[in-house]
Amino acid sequence: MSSRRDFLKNISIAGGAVATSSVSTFAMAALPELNMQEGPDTQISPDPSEGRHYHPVVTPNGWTLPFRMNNNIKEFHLVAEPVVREMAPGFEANLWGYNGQSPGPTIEVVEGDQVRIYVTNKLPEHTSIHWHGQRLPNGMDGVTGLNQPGIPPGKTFVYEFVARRPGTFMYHPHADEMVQMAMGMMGSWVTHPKQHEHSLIDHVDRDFCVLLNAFDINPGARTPKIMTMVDFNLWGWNSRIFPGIDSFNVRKNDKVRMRFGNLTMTNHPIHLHGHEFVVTGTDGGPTLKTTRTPEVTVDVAIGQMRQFEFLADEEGDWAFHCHKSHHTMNAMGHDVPTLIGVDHTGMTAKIRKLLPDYMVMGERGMADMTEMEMPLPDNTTPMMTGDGPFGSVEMGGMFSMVKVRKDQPAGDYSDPGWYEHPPGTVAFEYTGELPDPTRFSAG
Amino acid sequence: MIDGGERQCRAVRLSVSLVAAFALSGCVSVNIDKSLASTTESLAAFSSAELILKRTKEDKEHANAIVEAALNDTLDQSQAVQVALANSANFQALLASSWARSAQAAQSGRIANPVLSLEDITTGPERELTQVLTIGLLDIIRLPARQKAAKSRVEFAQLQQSADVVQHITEVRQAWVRAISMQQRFIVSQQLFESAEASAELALLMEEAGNFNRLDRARQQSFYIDAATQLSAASHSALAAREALIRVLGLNEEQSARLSLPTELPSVPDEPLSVENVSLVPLNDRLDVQMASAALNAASRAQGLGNVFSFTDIEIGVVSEQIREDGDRESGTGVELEIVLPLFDFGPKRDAMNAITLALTNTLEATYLDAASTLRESYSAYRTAHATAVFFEEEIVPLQEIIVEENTWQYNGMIIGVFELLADSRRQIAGLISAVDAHEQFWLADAAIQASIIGRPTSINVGGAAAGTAGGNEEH
Ligand SMILES: [Cu+2]
Repeated sequence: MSSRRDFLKNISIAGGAVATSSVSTFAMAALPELNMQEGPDTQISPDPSEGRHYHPVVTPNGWTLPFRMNNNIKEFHLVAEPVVREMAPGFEANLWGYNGQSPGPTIEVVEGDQVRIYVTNKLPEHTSIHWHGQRLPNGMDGVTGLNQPGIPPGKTFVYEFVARRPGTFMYHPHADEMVQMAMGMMGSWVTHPKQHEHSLIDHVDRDFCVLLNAFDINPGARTPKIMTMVDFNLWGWNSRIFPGIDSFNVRKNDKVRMRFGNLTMTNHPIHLHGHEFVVTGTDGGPTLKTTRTPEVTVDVAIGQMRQFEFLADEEGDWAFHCHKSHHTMNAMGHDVPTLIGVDHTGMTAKIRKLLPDYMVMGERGMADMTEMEMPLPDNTTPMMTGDGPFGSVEMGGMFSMVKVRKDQPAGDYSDPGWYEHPPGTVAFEYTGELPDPTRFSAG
Repeated sequence: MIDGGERQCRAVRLSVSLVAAFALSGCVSVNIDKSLASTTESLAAFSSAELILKRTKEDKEHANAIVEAALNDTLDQSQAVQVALANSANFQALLASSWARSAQAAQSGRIANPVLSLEDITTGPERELTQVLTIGLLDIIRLPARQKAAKSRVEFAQLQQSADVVQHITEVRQAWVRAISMQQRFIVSQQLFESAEASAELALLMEEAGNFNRLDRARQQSFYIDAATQLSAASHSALAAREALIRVLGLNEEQSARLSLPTELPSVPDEPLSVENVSLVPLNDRLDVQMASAALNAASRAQGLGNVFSFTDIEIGVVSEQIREDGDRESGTGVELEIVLPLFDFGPKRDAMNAITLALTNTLEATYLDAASTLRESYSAYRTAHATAVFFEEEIVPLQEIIVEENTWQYNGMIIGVFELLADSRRQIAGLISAVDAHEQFWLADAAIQASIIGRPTSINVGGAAAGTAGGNEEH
């Protein structure tokens, strides 16, 4: 709850820059400190030391942007700029993002906060930021040409509005939008509820925030093809692809919230193994409790956000992924012919005469690919890959795991390693006799 | 001359070669060995090959030894030239004809061979025996001048011989280049064919397994048919080029079977011939200029004679008569002098000589101009071919290697399929044909510039379409 006391406290934290409230806020405001992020490691934010209290979210392979309080206004500084994003180990992409990475940092505020965001444009073309899903003055909505002029290269614009309703939002450019989003410009926004006890927004132990994104980068290249409309070849969570996406590590019986925003051009059925969850929020806000039914998959449609919650009460390493199977693959050819059942080992010698490094692949299926160590184009993550405790996971793209451990300390998000299965709880090979199958014969 | 008339006549005319007897000091003569040596020497910068005109058993054995040694190994270009010179019957014919021309030229500087006529005429009981030895009188009178003219003709014949040798060697060099490049194209076409064959076979298996429809399979097979057609054309071209070389080398069947050529043309030299290299032979020493100038010299000398003598034709005859009448023997000796003055011929013949000289003067001038111009052109052809071949060696071939490697990696990553991989391999292989074209053009241009430098320009099409680059535009 906002109060005069908070206001004074914030002034003192702001370093005494403000002597009286009669001074124009713009005159007082030197730009907030610029915070940058260098790499793709998940940064865990501490609880806020100023402003209204909230429980920060965790953005896997991302971070939350620090703010400063200025005259009771929560100030952020975003810099739109070209970045190099490691999308998976060994694969870097030339993207556009904010403050050193794509996606941009997650912005966390509390319902009712007066928020001021400085946006500096270091891109070669103009940009703007649209605060997807927010209630705000029309002139702060960020649509270039419609609500504001574009922010020219080298210039800084200021957005200012009150975070009026709690929920999960997204931000992204609304200037040359298709190109700038294809280049990776997007970020998450979480407005925490003002009341600690909210009738529709429960307290959770772990709160994760993921942006779904899609890129089209030719294997061996580094920069997305910006004119791709449909045939994206990289499906990312927070601009990472499996095996580059950090696992969601929780303690057994934690209440876990997932916030998934979709800024791709297709829908993503997000599927969790081993648990049921309920959808607790959409872009429009918290769902009514009476509408919440158990699910194991939630479709996050284009431009949508889905927030879902579950009790992590089953120990193990649970797959967590988009259920479109090609979205759990990395770059692949869509014209690769099916060779299943085509025994052409006899022809290998002939083909090798022309292409000495040729290997027969695919006549039993595609899993061959994960078993052979073959050179790939530089800067390319294999189509299906990822080492698990039992071999290759044979996945890519929008795939990760929820790791549930009873001994995961509270507040510890580090990877506990592979799950140690209790004896007799892993599928095993049957070694007895195989009876001849009995087939039903018609007539 | 004595005319047998209606009398029963048995006349025998003997041409007595009394060259030695009538040869005067300073007379023009032709020694073929010296002539060949002179040609060899004058062509030293062009070719170090030995000229052999096979006349004796030793000559033949010597030539055979050269051919045998060369055929025992892979035949390089200079060996090919040597084999052709020692072995080719056509070339032997060329040298022999050249010798004949020189001999005829030299002959024109001598007194015509005396003619001895024998007559045995029986008229009733009389039998008349006449022996007439005839030599041209003016032949002797104008001998010194004619010797000068003959010298010019011999010189011209010598130059002609050099030019013919240069022409022949250039043909051998170019035939050698084509025989290799056509074989290279054939090998590349074979690779193309194998790639298309693999696609077609795989497509059949795909159709059998139900993974391809008829259309997919038929498409892959059509590439195969294209490649097969191209392969048979390339096979014939390779054979034809080899046979052309065999002909120019004059190989018999047994020798042809042993003919072994390099599998590919040599790399182009790092340093192409410079402008200085090319203009090393002074204009006046070029064969074409020398020939034009010799022709003019010969004509003007001939014209110098013509003013005084050329319209006359005089024969002098020494007559010895023996008449037998019933065994008696009378003999008397007299001199017959026959002078023919074709006065009516005077004007046209002198005019003709003037016109010839005028024509040859202009020909010489044109030769000078053309020499410089064709040299510039063939040098440009040479440098262009060199630059293109270097470009292929240094840029395009490595690029193609990159494409093949990257494609294999793309295939490994399941980004492209095996058919696309094979199709692209065919595109890259087809690119190799262009590389062969470039090398062939360089080595043809190299042979041409060598001939051009010495003054025997040979035409060559640089950038002309060679055996063709098929397989390049299938799919996409
Ligand atoms: Cu998906």
